[in-house]
Amino acid sequence: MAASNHVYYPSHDPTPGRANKQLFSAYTLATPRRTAASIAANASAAENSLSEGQSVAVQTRLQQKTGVKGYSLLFAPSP
Amino acid sequence: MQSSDGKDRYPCSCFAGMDGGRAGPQMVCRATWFIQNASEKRRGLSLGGAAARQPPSPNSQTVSAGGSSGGGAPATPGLGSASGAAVDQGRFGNRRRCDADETPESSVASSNVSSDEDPQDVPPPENFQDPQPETDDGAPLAPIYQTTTPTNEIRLSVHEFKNRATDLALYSYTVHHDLTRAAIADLLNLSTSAAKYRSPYLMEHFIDASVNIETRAVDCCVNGCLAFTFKRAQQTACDTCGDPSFKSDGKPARQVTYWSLASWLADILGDPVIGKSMLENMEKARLAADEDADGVHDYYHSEKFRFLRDRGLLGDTFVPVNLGSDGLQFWRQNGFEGWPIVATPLSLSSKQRSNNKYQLLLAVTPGPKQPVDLESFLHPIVEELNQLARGIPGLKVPNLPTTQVLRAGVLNFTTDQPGGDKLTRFKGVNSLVYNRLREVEGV
Repeated sequence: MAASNHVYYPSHDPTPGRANKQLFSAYTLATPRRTAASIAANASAAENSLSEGQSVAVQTRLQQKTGVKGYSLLFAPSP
Repeated sequence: MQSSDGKDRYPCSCFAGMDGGRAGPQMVCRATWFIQNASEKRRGLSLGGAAARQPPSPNSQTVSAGGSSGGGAPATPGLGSASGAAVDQGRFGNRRRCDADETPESSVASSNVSSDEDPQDVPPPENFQDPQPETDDGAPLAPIYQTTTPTNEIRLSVHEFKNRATDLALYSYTVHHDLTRAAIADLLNLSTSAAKYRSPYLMEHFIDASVNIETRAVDCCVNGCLAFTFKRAQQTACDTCGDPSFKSDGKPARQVTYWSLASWLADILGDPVIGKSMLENMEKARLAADEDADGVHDYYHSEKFRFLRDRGLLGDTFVPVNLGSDGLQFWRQNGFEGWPIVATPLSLSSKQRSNNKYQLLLAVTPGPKQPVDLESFLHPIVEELNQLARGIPGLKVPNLPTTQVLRAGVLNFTTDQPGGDKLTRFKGVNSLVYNRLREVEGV
């Protein structure tokens, strides 16, 4: 898995060092919800990396990690 | 009728008795008169209506006047009644031929006459009385409601609408069956077509002039990358492709058309039937939101609706709206793609709101490819939604005495997953957190 750029969503983490951590469960829905504040924070971070002139690789990595590319009119309107 | 040699003689004006029309009526005995006139009647029936449409024979008129043109002998007073009876029979026989010809099915009439029954026993035709005009029940006619507010409306008056009803029906037919322009032209050129506008060009101009739909134009990139809205309102070139936003003559390079949501909603609420049902449905939705339901049955059980209810924003004329958008390839060969943005009023009944006529088109991205910044095309719509959230006064609703304040709010935004990612600026399948609602991590 680590050799490719594809992202998978298994229920448990197959990475050896992460102790088979549960990533997803359809029964408990224990994963935290995204809130308006958390989405706005992720969008702000993505916009700041763009405005600060950081490299494209850094911006892409940040967007992949949070899943948000920037301000959105519907989810995270610009301040 | 004349009497000669002690026997009753009758003037026969049949075809055989007049020697094929070359001689006058001959005096025949009673039995011969019946035989020849019966055969004459059958011949007339078998020949159809040609004999019946001929004017009555002058001989019969002469006879009916009481004299004989051929015999020259005066009628005897003692036989006046018999003679009159015979003449009446002749006249009646002529009339009977007309009655038989008026029978819808000639085969049935011929079969009846060819039987051995006396032709005089044919039952007389029924007397058809003219249908009485429908009596007025006295109830006053309902007035035709026509608003005077400058919203989306039909410009035709009632009288013009009656005169152009055929054109409107034909146009509806062509749209419903998705006819091509050539098929419409052929249909309009038919001699049986009662349309006044006999070409597709004239028909479309008539429809455009008949309906007033409030629109506005917004500048956009000539390649359809983005719309020059919000922070890009003062830009003179596109961010993405670099093409200028104006032509050399100062006119916008390209514009995208927006249809007003407020006008759409005012038009629907102004309808005496639909508007009334929307107000009733909204009242029921407010009551249903107060009840504890087992699950989510409709929009009024959503958290968003209850949030608006708790804030006191759900007035009488509040219209909950569902927005939706998705990419659409108009022509598959060249890949011309547009993104229509459609609003659906949720206060209609669940069956009505899914009809095509209630999918209110707000805008279509210009293409030819999908826009680089789809969100920029939403800004004019969101500005109008902000106005609708604050309320637009002056709405006339039938059956309500005063003008109302039109309010609307978006409860849902319906897209597929890639379209939603594009609209909300999410990374999509390439991110470690794909879900938009929960932070489900991938590896």
